[in-house]
Amino acid sequence: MSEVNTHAHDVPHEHEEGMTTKKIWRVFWWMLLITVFEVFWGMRVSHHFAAGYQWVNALVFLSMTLVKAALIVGEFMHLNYEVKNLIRTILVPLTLFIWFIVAFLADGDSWLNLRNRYAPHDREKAPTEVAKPAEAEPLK
Amino acid sequence: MATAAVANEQTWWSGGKSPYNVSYGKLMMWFFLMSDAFTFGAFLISLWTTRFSLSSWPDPNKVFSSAPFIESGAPLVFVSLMTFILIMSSVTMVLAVNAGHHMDKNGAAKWLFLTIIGGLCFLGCQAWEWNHLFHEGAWWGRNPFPNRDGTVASTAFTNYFFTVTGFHGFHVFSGVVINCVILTNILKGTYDRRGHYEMVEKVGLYWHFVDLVWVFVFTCYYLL
Repeated sequence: MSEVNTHAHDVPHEHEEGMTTKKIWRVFWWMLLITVFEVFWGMRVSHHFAAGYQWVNALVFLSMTLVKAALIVGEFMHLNYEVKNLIRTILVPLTLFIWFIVAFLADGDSWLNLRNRYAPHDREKAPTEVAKPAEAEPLK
Repeated sequence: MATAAVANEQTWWSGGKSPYNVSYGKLMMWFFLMSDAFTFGAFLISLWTTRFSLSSWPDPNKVFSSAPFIESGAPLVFVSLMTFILIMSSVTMVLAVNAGHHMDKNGAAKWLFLTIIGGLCFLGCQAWEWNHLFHEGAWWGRNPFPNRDGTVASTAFTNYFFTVTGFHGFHVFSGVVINCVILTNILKGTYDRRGHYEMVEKVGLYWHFVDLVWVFVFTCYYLL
């Protein structure tokens, strides 16, 4: 490992070889294809899932969204072709979103359960039937 | 230990050049966009927290079912058009950046001009949609659309809709203004004298970010 490594992948590209006009249009067609698929799914497919299977729609739409986001950031914003230092500096802080999403969605869900339990006059109809307020066990 | 001439990995941090291999301005644009990503992320996560706390929510296929000349029954048609316009303007922006790399003044000016047109079309569509929804009785604090299950819906639906799309539209608007400034500079030959078109890249980053945010708004508001 003592040799001079002239081919390290952090070497800057000569000059933006990553993006040729052809490649730009290829990314465009992918984006368009994904969007058409999403719209088709939204119009024709998404209603056919029963109440308990809505997560399938969410999974489909979110994956498509993330693919499009990766194309925009990686190709259009050129991040794929930057040096590793920059890529990491941008992407690592975004992992905070994992906590952000998990914590807050759990909070929203708990809010729904608490209201159903303790505010019967203001009772929301939960997707799964909850125990009647009188019989409900008090939360710890 | 071997002396100075070691693997490239280490020389990035040995001083004398940017360890990120980009100019100061471009790096700051990236940092700004990262902070902006958290702003929009906070909006959308807040929207989902509220949605999780409610047992039902209006059906986007019913709410957003109109387009110019189509009274109703055309779900997703208009917003798909808006999405297409924005993707298209992102492509013209990359082409402008590409032309800038080749010091092609006319090419950069042409593609940036088309990007501005795309941005204006998107804003026009959004104005139409806001106006249409307003005349259906929707606004901050007012929500005429029922939930999917037929119950009366929370005004959170319209509040978030106008806040999030408004904030995004404001970004598009600022992007159009900035693009106009850069286009003027291109035409005046500022970047030819400077020897590079990096400013086009910087506004390009901003413009693509606006497209990126729309991808998420589209999913959160119109699809799910």
